[in-house]
Amino acid sequence: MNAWSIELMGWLGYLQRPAVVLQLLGVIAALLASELLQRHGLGGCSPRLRTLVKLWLSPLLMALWAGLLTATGQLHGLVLFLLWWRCGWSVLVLLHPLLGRVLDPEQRYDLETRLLRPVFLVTGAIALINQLDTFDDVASIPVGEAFDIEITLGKLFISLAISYLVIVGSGLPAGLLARGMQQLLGISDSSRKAMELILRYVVVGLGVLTVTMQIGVNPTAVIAIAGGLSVGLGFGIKEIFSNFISGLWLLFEGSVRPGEVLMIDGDPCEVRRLGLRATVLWRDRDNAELLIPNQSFFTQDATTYTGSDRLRRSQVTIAAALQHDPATVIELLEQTAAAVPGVLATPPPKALLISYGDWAVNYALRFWISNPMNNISSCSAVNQAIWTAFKTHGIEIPYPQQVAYLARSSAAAATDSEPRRFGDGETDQPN
Amino acid sequence: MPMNWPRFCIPKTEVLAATLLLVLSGCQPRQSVNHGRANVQEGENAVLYVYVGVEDDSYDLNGYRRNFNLTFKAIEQQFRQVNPRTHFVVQLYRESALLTELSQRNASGLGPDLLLISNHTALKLAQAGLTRSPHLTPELRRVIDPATLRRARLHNQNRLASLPVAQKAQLACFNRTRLQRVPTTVQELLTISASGDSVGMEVFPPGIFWSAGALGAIDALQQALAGRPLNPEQQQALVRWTRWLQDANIQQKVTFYNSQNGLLEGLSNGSLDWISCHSTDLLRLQQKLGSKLGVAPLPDGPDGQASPISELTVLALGVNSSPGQRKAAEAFAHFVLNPLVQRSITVSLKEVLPVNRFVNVPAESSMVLQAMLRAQQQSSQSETIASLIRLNDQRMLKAQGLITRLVFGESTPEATAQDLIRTLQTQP
Repeated sequence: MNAWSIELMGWLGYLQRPAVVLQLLGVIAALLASELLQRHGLGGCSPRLRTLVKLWLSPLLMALWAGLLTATGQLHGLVLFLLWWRCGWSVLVLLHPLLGRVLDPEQRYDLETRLLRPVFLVTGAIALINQLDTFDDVASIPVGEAFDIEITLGKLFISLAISYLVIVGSGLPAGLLARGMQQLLGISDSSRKAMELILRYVVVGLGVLTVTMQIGVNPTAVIAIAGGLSVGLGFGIKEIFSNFISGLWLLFEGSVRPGEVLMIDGDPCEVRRLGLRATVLWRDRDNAELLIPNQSFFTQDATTYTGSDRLRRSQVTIAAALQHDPATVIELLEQTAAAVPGVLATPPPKALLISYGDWAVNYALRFWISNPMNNISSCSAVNQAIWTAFKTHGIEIPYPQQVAYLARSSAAAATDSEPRRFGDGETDQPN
Repeated sequence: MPMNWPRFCIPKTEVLAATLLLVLSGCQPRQSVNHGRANVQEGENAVLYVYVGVEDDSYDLNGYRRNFNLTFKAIEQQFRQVNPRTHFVVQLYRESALLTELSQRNASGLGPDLLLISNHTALKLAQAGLTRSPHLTPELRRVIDPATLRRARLHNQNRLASLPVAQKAQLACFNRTRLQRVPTTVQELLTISASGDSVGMEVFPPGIFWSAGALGAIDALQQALAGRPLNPEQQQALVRWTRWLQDANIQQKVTFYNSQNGLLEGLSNGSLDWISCHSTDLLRLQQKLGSKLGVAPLPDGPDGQASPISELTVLALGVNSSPGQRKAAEAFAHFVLNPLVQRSITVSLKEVLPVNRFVNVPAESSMVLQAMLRAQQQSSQSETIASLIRLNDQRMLKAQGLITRLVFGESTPEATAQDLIRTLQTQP
């Protein structure tokens, strides 16, 4: 049997002591009573009372049990320990609405699930180990060997804890530092986000190095690992590494950063996150999140609307009847676009006569918007405004018209050389 | 972005509770109380929780744990041949933390069944009511030296605080590559320091009392500690000792330290060549110095042998044990005192000597054991002093102050001798 499982089984020996069993039975009974009451006895009660029972009934019963044991001269330290732990959990639950006042839901979710609750559970587990054993003794249990170094439970735990904390906890300091740098250097938001990500990578890298040193791996072994990795990179994990390097490169280059807008399959998409392997983009059209491997941005063409600025030139096309003066139509179109909210005054909207169609004159109206993601809605607004303006000014948006010629005898054709238009007063009936 | 907040809940409490109840009811061992028998009954499971006290200045706890586990495993295997259903869970603690730890754990019912600790810690714990007195059988009374048993007794309650299981020795530790020859007398000790070798000694009285015997002052100290008046010869002997201490400090290469830890650090890092040390420090020094470490008995003197005070390692019994665990713990304590196990511990550890008077230590095989045996012999004259020094004895702290003033030349040997007599005669 492994040393750690022997240690674990050894803790069960405390159950040979009546005082320990008595304390535990009381705690179990308190939890059981609380749970049963919640499930079967609070049918018609208010949500407030239910929450109160859920959070505080079992701690109350445990406290009563501890009091009873004290009064009868029995040992009760274990009950008090478990009581404190249970109260801590209830306090953590109470924090939930309080955190909601200062954090947005996503931040609160991240804080609670990634930091507060894991830290509480791990701290509780360590405290429990320290009740039953000593953390040092448990930490010294060997679990294996790597590079001629004995890996103990303690080393493994500390390594995992440091790695987890570095990965999860580096976000806030990196974000604050990047914000500070933004204020000092006056860089853009996307540059700040890039800097934040780079800082996180640096912190995580240092964390991994610290963990490696903490385990006791010597530099020669690290070089050996690097050598092994380089072979591995050549074969197995080439794609992963390629994506990682691509991500870093894109960050430094600045073409794909959080906040940038790229055209993906004809749709404008906003870059949300640049991960180690893939970039997450948000598509406004259907609220989809696209995960695109970083490497793709290296091998495929990409169109961006946010390379040097965030302006986008949009265009709508419109047809007006032949009889209207193009100068009038162009002026009307430009005035109409300028009046639409979201259309920039500078550069000014520009209308152009594109071509003469069979039954209409085709115009294009070009205008500028500040948010490239709003192209569709801006175009819709401009089109609506044009319809209203044309109606007000009596400008016809013509229906498609077709001129048909009838086949006639050669004599008749000779006498009547003028073509007759379909629908101009006379109706030609086919024979 | 839509998000599903996971519900906070206690996971399936009923299932957990039922499982635990089953475990609790199923784990109860068949217990039968039979205090007369040394062995645990056949078919009876007992898990014994053993706390091992590590002296505070032991710097490498992991190294200590490895060595200790190896030794303990050997004893455990022997014990389990007789009591196969007894299992051990060993936990290491700093001795300074034991009082607090035990207070908390005993209150939870999670305290130890056995404690392997130094005698002074055992006295402290027994006085605080955190351990219980062991059952001393006539056989044990016969094999353990009465003076040793006296030291394990609580003075004010006249009950045994623990069972002595091993004896530590005070020795001389030196750097073989630096000392041309080992000083065998206190005069030689000053001579080697005059010739350039660095010597380190303690000012804490139990750590420097070894030199009192060499200068004939041990009886004087004994009289004073017992609160009795000193005759002129004894007073003169005490002055001789204090003068030697002052002379020693005048030597440029003799340094006095407040704690044993300073001496060990000095020898380990090469700033000292000779120190007084304890047998339990040997592992630590060995790890630092390797084959350079030399061990010898403390030097004698013109007026007698050195008078080192040996410390005791004892087994104390916890208060939370179930009847089965209590019986197994008593059985183990008695087992450790049998001659075979005592000899095995002595030979394998080479850190302690047996307390069983009938154990023959194979000293021919080891210079360290020879030195320890010699130290044990030397310490026989200071056994009474050892038993007169009480738990948290304030006289020792005051005497330390007097010796410090003396070695720094702020007080004369005569005045210090008189102050020492007055201080030690005050009964705590």
